[in-house]
Amino acid sequence: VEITQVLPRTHRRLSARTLLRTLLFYVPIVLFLAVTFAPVYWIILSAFTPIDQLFHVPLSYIPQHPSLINFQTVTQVVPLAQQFLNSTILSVCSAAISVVLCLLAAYAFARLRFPGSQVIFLALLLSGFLPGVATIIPLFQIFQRFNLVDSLRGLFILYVGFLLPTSIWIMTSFIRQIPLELEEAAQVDGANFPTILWRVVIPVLRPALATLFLINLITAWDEFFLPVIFSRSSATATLTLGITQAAVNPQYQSVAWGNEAAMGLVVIVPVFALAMIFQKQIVEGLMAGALKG
Amino acid sequence: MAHADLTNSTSQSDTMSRGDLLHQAGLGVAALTAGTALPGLLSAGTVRAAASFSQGTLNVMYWYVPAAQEQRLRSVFDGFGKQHGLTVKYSLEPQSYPDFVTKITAYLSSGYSGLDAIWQDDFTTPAFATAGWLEPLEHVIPRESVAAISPEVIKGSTYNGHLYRVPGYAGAVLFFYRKDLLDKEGLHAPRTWQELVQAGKRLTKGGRYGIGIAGKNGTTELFNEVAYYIGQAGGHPLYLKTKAARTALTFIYDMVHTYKIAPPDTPTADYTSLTTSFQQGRIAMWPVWGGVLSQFLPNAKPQSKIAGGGTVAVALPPRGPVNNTTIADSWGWTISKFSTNKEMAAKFIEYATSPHAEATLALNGVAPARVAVLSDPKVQQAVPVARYLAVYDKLHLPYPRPLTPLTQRVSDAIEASVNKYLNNQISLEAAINEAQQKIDQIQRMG
Repeated sequence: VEITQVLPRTHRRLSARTLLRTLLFYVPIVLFLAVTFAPVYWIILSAFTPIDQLFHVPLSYIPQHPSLINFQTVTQVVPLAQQFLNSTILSVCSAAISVVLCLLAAYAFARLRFPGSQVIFLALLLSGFLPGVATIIPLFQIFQRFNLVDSLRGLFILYVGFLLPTSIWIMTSFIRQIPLELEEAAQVDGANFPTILWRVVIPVLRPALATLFLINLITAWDEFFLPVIFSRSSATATLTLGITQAAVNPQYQSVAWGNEAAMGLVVIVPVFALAMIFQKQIVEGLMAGALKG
Repeated sequence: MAHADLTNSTSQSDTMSRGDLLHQAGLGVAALTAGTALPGLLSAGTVRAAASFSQGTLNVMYWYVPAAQEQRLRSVFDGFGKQHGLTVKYSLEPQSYPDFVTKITAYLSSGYSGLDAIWQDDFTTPAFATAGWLEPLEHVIPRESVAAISPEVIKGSTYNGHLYRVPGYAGAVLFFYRKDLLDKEGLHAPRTWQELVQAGKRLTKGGRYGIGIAGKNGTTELFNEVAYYIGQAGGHPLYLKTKAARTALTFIYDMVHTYKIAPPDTPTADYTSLTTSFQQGRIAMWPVWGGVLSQFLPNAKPQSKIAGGGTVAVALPPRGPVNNTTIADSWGWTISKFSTNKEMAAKFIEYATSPHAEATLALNGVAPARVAVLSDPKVQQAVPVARYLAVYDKLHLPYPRPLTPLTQRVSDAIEASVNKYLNNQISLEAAINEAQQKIDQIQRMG
């Protein structure tokens, strides 16, 4: 009798504790997901809702009459094809070249001892943390002198320049984690530097290089401030500029949220797809850096 | 461990690989050059354009216009180009105002010579003129061209006795109302503040409010509201410790909290949300820039839909304690101090603000600055607010917003304090003292 009386009570107590623990575990996760996905959902909702229904009271969280009208308007207002081409060229080229350059620079910082290497490394790192707006006027003066304003090559140089400091920093830490014995063994076998780099270092770094390429690609794709200043014509405008072009008309002084959301989706979808396709490689690359040592 | 290994073998690694590394660095430079050339090759047109500065090219910067409207803009620019045997290169201004200010500031503060004529608003003109980045125009633009524009709009382009800008677009806050809703209540458009309150009370029912006020902080929209009502009370937004400013601010507050004819969410309302409310009949009257609601006027083509097929009309501003004036804004052409082609830029401005050019650009929805062009039936057909602007101009109702080199900061200061007042966070006196203190500081800086 005593046992039957006690057991259910313990069971109840355990259940309550488990329930509380489960709640404490899941509630923050659900809240985090809600906060993270709410803006994305709102963008999707706004993109497929005509502007006259967007601010309807009471708010509708599911499109009552989904429409592609905002996308149609965007194609009329923004030179999408040109901007898509520009964004693709700039992000692919700058991500590729920044990875190549950062690999070489990072190898030097990781493996060579030369006077002032630590200071140069620190200076390079600090240059990456300078706010863009602080450097924009001197940069503009330099670019003006070299006729690089309003050209894709100018934007390309800027993108690479802004991507490099952080990339070198990350890549240096990756290279430092490669056992030196691997390179020494190759040297004993008679391999010269390019062979060591190509046959030994790069294969080990491949996941990290792929990850860095993708991160730089996404960063360059999303860049807004540099094209705002350095692009002057449709020929050099990127998709991120298109978002504001689709959204605002200075004469009307109000924001066309539907157009902005539609253009936002046009910008988000390609990088989202890339991230989804290469998700495994990105995680592997990041984990490789985290676990090796 | 890895670090210790590295230190032990540094010298060997160093001596053996440095030459190779330099060789590899050379390859890296070659790759960078190739990378630089690739986008360049793909945008050869842009490169040619960049190289053509000062070679028969006039560089102008104007609003971004959608592809459908670009042809008309090009026809104006190309028309000038043909007349003078040169190319007018058109650069895009960013759509968002802060980006526009950042971009032009970066260009002009760098002494950039690749810009000749710039399309600017009334806020940035005194700021850039004070910085010495703009060329005075009174001696290069013919007097008759200036005389064709409303004196108040010209006043908004003149700073420290110099004309720095020739307006090509002029707008004003117009008193819009939902005619269908007022008719239903048997009301006519209010002619005084008292009538505005009475009409507002009649119209406020069932989730609908009599009047819209953009009370959001940080958008310049609340500043416009404050300037509009203070003007009608006979004051000036730079001087808040006056009877006129107190009367106007109290009136705005009372419309929200005492008469309850403006929505309770007024302190967060902006032009975008109020436009939708007006369209859906949730506010019945709203004094706002003509361009914001012009799409709903009966003669707008294509006309945006109004809920329930209602109609929109424009009346004269209801008279405040002193007058029924309204605020004006304008955009126009300036010449960069760093232009290498100032003479041609002046000729371009004269051409781009000519009656023919203004009538052409009106087809893009740009309200002309020339008073005579506002009365052109074709322009009135293309720009629905033109005929109302013409009437307002005739009655000398619009006057420019305050002209100081730091108008944006003045606007921010006023908005921050008035928004707190509308939110019941501080009293009227506290709001006035706080804002005026900031305005005085800003004025001293300017």
